[in-house]
Amino acid sequence: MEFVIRPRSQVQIFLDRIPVLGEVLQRPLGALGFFIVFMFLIAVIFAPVLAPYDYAKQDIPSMLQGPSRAHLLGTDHLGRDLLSRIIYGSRIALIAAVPSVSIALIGGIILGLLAGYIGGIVDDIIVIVLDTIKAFPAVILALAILALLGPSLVNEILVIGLAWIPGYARVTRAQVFSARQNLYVEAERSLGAPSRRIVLRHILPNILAPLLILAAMDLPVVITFEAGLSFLGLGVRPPTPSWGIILSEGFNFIRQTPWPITWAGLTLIITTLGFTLFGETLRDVLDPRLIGTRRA
Amino acid sequence: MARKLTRKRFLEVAGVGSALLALNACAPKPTEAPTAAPPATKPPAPTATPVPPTATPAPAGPKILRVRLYGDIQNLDPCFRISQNDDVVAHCVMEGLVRYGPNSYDLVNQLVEEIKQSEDGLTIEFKLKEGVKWHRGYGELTTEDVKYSYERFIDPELKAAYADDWATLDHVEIIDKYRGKIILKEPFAPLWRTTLPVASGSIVCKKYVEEVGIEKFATDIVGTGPYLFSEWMPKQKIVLKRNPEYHGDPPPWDEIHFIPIEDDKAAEIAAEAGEVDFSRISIASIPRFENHPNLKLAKYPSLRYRWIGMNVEHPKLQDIRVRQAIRYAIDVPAILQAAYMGQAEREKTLIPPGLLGHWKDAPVYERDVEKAKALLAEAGVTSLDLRFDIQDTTEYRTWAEIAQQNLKEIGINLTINPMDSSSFWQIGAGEKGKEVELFSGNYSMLPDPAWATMWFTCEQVGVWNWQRWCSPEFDELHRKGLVTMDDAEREKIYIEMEKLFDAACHSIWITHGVYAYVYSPKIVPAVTPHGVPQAEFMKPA
Repeated sequence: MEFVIRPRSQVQIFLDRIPVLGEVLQRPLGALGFFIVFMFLIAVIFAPVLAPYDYAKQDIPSMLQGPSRAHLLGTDHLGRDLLSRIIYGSRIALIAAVPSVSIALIGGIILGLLAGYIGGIVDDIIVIVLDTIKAFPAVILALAILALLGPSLVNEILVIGLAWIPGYARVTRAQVFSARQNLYVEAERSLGAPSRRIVLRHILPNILAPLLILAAMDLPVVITFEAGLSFLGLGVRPPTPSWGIILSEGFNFIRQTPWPITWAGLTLIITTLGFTLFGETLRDVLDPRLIGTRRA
Repeated sequence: MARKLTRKRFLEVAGVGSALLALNACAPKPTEAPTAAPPATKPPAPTATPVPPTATPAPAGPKILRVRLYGDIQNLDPCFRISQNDDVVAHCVMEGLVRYGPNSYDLVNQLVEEIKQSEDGLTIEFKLKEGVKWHRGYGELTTEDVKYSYERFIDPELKAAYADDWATLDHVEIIDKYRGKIILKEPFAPLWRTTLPVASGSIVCKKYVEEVGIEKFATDIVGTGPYLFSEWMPKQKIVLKRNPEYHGDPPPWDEIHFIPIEDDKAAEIAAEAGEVDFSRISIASIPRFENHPNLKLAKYPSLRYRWIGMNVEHPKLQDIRVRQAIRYAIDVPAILQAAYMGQAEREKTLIPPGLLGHWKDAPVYERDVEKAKALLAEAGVTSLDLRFDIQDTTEYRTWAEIAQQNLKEIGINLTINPMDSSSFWQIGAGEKGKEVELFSGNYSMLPDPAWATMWFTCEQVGVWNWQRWCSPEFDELHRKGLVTMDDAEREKIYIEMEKLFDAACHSIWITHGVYAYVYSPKIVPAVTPHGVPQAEFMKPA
């Protein structure tokens, strides 16, 4: 049997020097995911430069047009440029997704740490509360709360954050249960270290990685969820563009033109796919149980 | 060898698939042939009609008529009805002394054998049909019920929303069980056009209303009509069942189901899917249904008036110059183009063309941004935040988004507040109505000008007068219009009222529009000449 050792390219050598991300980029799916996420972030950051028109500028005589030189993706029912609205819609997706996941992550970590480390009745109460929230499907919970608070982006973020807390809290709690059995925690405790120090300096840093990966993988789910709420009229207010609103408005005029739904739907699919591929690859790279399978 | 589908493999395939889909969508559209291509030579595929599993024909089910409502019922009490939906349902259950006949404004006797008005116009004498039974075993209809039904409107304690329909009623005199007289204080011009034949002329069962109270009566009615009110599932369905003891011709349907669907587009899909037999459609969809293979289309001129209202009592809108600025800023032709695909005519004034009192020389306010800015500056307003309450439908969202953009140009920041139909129709009521700023108004109307003006009197502030504009002069003319029997004189009165309305600048007229309906060829629809469905007269084809 003959073994051939291929020399590593300059690019690969360069990527090898970048921890984690370099490894993600050396995997085709990871690279594709990263590329999509990167383009998404470019759209978010440079929306005013990239968008050819003001997203709210109406041009009634040009309404419901298909793609053309003037409007690359066509126009909506008020003659607004669809490309500009989709580019600006990426901002709403990110503005809704990142704070929502952050609220869920922070809330979940706090509750999970309390439940997992203190245990006893505190654990019981937290678990009951989390189970109660979890018992409601996220959409129903969101609809109920938004009906009470009224539709707005801030309320939408709060609702999504609340709906996602139980997931993070449960993972944190399980991780804490496992971590508190470790010798380094036992050693700290026997040395008389206070609980706060043990939790913040020893347990939390050791359980953070899987939670961050979970957060990265939740981003696309939350983006889709936000689009769903906006589709139902429970998200941002007009004329702010959200992909869900473009879908909803496009739905009303689908008989006249399919383009708004096509573009908004495709954007949503591709973005979700990009975040998922990136998150999955990141998980593979960071998960110690999969170390042996790297670059398989 | 079978290959196991892992999550990773799935993502690979999905990634490639999405890329191909995106490329395909970006590809240039193939050039279309300039004329319709002849049909392909390939014979049509055999029809896909499902074959019943057995040869035995299924027994015929109940004959059900399914009518779409544009919103749920809210109050079926003739004194407090809220929307046209309430009228359409209630007319199948409750009857009047007289009613409009099917597809016309011709009056037909419904509960009376005879009815006549005295020459001075102050007395209407009637004789009821004998043996007419109330639903649910509430006995026989008598003059006592007629007296109770009409005098409720003028009961100061009840504060009926439609008291103006019986503004000049003095009392109803009972001669005997079946004979009576309606005594008026003054002649009442709209009586035969828009009081007796409509819901305000409906006779309610005194025994039942007193027994259950007006709150229950609002959504659970008893009448003498062809259909019994059977079940109300809020936001889902209202079920009426055939009245086996009906005094007239036997009702043609076993059941009528009214299905509330707020959005016209959703209703159109329901009609195409065969889930409703009769539905209003949006004006924008008219061309699509003109040659529909499974549905018939009918169009009617509408009496409904649509406008953007401004609450004159609200501190932000008290200055007439601010309201004038808004009127000059809003681009009504753009709204007509976007919301109605240019199929609706612009409305210039309250009373529609073709009706007595239409002000044909009413001014049309063209968009003038500079003038609007100047008016705002004159009023000392540099920036203003306003809220626009609308019904959450495509039509009104389109209005609102255009108005939002228009007003932004003159420094007014408009927040759009879409609401479901039930919530929306409560916003102007009572003290809460003071908080209304801008709203999308659309009221149905009957073919008498008094029906348009009655909602904007001082008494209606906090009821239906959401602009909260109170003009004693307007009120006086309204009262005069009700008792003037000469049409030429009435015409002048109503035009004068429209001038006052215009000068106060609290409304921006949009359109009267047209009503378009689609219906199954299996039914014969019945609709008034101005497009109000008459479900009680609809029949199988």
